[in-house]
Amino acid sequence: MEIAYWAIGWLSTKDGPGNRVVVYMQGCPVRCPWCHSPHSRFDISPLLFQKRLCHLCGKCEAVCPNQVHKVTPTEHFIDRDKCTYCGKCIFACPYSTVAASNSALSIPTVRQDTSELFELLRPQLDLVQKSGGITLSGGEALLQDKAAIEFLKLCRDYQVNTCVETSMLLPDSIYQEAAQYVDCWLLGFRQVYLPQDFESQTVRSNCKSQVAIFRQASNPRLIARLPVIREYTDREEQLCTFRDILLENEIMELEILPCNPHMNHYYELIGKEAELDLNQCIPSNEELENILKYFRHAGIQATRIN
Amino acid sequence: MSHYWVQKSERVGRLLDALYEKGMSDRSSEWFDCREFEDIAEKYPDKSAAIRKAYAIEEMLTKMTDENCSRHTHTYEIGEDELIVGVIPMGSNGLGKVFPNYLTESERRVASFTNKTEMALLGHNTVDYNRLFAGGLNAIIAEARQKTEKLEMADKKIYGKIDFYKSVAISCQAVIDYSNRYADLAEAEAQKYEDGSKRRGELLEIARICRKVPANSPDTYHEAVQAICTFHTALHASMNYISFGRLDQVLNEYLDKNRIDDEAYIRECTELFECLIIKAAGRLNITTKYLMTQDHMDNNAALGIHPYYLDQRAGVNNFLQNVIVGGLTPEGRDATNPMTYIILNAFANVNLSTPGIYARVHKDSPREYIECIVRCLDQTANIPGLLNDDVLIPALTNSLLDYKTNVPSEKREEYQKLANDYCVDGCWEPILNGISDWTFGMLNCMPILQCTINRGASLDTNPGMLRGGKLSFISDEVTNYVEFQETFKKYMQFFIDQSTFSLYECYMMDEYINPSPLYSAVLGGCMRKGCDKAWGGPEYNIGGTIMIGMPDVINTTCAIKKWVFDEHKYTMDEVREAMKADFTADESQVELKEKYLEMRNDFDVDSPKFGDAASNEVANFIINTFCDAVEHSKKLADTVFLYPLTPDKDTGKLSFEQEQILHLRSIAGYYGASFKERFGRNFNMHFTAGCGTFEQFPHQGKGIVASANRHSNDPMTANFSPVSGTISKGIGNVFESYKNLPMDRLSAGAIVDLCIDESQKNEAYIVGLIDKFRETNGNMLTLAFGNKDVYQKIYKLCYDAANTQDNEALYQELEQYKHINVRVGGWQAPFISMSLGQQRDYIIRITQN
Repeated sequence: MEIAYWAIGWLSTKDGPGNRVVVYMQGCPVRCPWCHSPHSRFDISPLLFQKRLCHLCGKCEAVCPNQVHKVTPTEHFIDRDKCTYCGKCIFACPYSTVAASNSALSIPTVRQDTSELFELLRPQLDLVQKSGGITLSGGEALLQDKAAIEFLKLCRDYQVNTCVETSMLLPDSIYQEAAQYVDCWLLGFRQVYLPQDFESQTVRSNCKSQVAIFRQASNPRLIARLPVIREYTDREEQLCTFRDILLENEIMELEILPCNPHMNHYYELIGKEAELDLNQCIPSNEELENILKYFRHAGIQATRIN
Repeated sequence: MSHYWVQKSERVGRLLDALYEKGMSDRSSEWFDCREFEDIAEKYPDKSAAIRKAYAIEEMLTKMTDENCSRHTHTYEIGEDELIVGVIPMGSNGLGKVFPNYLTESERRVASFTNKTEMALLGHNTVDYNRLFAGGLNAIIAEARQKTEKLEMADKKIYGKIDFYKSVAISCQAVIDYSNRYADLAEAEAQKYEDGSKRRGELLEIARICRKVPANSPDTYHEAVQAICTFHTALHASMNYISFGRLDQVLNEYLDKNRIDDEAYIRECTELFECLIIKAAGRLNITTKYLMTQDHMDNNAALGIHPYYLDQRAGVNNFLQNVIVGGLTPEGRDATNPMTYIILNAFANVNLSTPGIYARVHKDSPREYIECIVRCLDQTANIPGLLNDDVLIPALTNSLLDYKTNVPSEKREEYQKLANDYCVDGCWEPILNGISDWTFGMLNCMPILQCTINRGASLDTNPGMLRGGKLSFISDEVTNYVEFQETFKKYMQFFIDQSTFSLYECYMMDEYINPSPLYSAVLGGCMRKGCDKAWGGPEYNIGGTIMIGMPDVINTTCAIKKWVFDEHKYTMDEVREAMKADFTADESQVELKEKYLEMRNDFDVDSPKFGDAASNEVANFIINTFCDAVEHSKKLADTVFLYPLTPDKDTGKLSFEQEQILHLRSIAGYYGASFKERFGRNFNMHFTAGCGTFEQFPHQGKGIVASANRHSNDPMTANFSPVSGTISKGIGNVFESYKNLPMDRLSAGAIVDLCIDESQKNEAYIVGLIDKFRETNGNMLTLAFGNKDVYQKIYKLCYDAANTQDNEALYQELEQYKHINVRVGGWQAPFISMSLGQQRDYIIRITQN
């Protein structure tokens, strides 16, 4: 079965316990304004364009059947709405290579058979087998539920610890099916702050039933994750609900993720305006420390992931 | 872990502090001045070089313990906390050496022709201390005198042998005298302390030990460690920059077996070993501020007739001394013992850049040993280096068998035992333990590639050179990959033949320039044969051929194969011109500039890379071609030099084939008897192949035009590592790619240096790295865990210090980073002492994959 991803993190200590190999899956149903990988939202990533690597040679314009590119002596305009992802511009571009991140033009989405992906990762999984494992991240890791589960099975059979990061906004049935193959969940609890006018009681109840699903198969490690985006996720009532949900569900590990200072990178590459003003939404160290203290005070083991 | 892992003692902490303080100070006044020594050649003009060398050793050790000299050299001092004594005089692979002259003027002048001086590079040997410990130096002297008498009484006097034994006796006695003078000093120092005080007791014990060893066999662990220190000091003081060898195998015998489970005892033993490490590291220069005034280097860095210059800056703290632990016993059992753990513990506690520490691993290495290595790596972030027995032992066995398969089983077993007992020399090449002499030739693979694509000429930007520098024979233009391969093989053979024949030639001149009586006294074979190490004395001689720049050549060949021969996107001529032009063109040549940029992108980004399975077909071809050439070359060199030519009994004439060999011998400029006649019928030069650069990789790239992932004159890739910045599929896939390469043909070692972001460092991950390295047929591996931000900060400070007049404050600021050691090609180095070029390369090397 084919699985679509937009990047592999060959070694990470920020995406699950220990040293992790991370597959960043393509596709996400959620529109978090602070998302730092907006190209992952689609089935296939929009064409990425790194202006600094373009030499304005115009070869892309010459080969494009859909007039996506318009190159002048000083500018390179891209109309992505017309793009059919044929890749001809990338092949024609002297400064681009398929699947290379340091290309002027690229479409990072890779579609690959799950067994092929596993074979590609296996040597690296050997390295982290004792110190970590594999993490499926996003996009939304389980949006491609069938492929993701098949891949998780392969990893499990190879005795690799599995971890899945999820927004918790997918149907319960997906979580039910996946649960038996997951050793650790990184839980996004997006319901708590998306939309912002959440109904506390409903959210609590939903979370409770979901957590029960996560726990149904075995005894997975549950780690909550809280992106701290000033004015978006750090309001007192959100933090309060978040804390209560964690306590109610006996989730005693929390990872605080400060707003990514490089959040705008992929917006620039896909030619879109970032949804947030970075200057406004990065919390100060003091604010982060206060949030950490808030949760620690409640007995929750809160750590900061930079 | 069932073995104790102890912290360093307060005493060791103080000794380390003192060493760092010295290392950060101006050490230029500590060097000997040649004028302080008697001129031995003037004093003994009629004596042979071996005897003169022995007297020079005596002079050196005498002056080292001369109170007047020691006022500035500090070579006759016992520090306040020291338990192990002796001071190696200043000197290093990068800064040079100072030694009493023992060569006559004529010898020096003729030696200039061969670029070999009395201080020419050594360090490719180890001592088997079991030989020294068997009866001490007294026993060796007695044996030497007995053999001298016997030889002198003989009708036919073999003066070479007589002089050899005499030189052994003189130099060994000089070491005993040196040790006794240290005993005198310890006794004198003891008088300064109150009767019954702890320090007085320690000093009197030091005095007792120095009187006993190395003159006699040690009986206790402390005696054994001191004997090693004294003899090592004497060797390094007498131009033998050589390794310690398998100290866990040597010292384990001296541990008190009744106290092996006593933590306090392990603490004592670890402390004594830490004292030995600190002694061996005594020549450290950590700051770069005072290097210029310590530059004592002359042309002695040249390796034989081919001038080859060491990176002097990078060699500042290279003393060619390594310890190796673990592995197998000669009989093939696991060799790990309590001393193995003590040594790793001590190295972890002290974490100095020298001596180097290597750990042998094999499929049956105990888990607790692996865990101990991991702990050491976790604690130090850079030591030990690793060697894979499962690959290196078969590789070494095959080399000793001269790659023959029809060898009697007893011979095979003998070689297997020797290979099981291997150790590393002062750089990192695997060698036989205390029984072999190792000499080597290094050659850069990039010129071989250049000749292949440029008809025997280098790619050169000098317009006066027409096609380029004519390095080899002329050949046809290669038009497809098959032709490329055939041509590459021919040029490889050409350059390997040059190297192999020069190794034989160099061997013939050592005797007259670099006799080593002190070292020969403990090197297997020499005493039995009555021959110096430099004159066929050792049981085994190994000539290593080390290839530089393999990863660069593999990457460039992959790119040429893909874009010239498979895709036909560029012509060979376009590639040559682009490489010569560093893939750049003048602004006015718009089209050409665009083309070169495109080509660079194709070469750098869109071609298979060494360390990825996609490059394996090419990598296999290049490595196998190299190894085949070494084997082939050895066969011819043996034919020419090795075997006696016996005239027909009846006619008294040589056969036609033998006449041809004489003819070949004269082509090589040699008219003498075969080596087996000169050095004994068992003489043989075994050849091993390896891949590496040592710390020379920045210099080795100078004068070499651009290649894939490399600008013109940029450093070559360090050792056998993936090119910096090209690991794209994780380190796991790098290891996996080596699995399908002929690593077991590289018996001279192929060392992979990896630097990983320190955020990834944890014990379980390091276990994964070591296991994967071993399971995928890795040959040799070094790991370092680094912090790019810290390295960049240091680089900035070093850069500013080098480019500012008023730099005192900058040097002071650098001092806080003096403990950071990294792996640089052949050895560990304090990061702040490295050249800016090496620092830059290291920063790029850190992978987060």
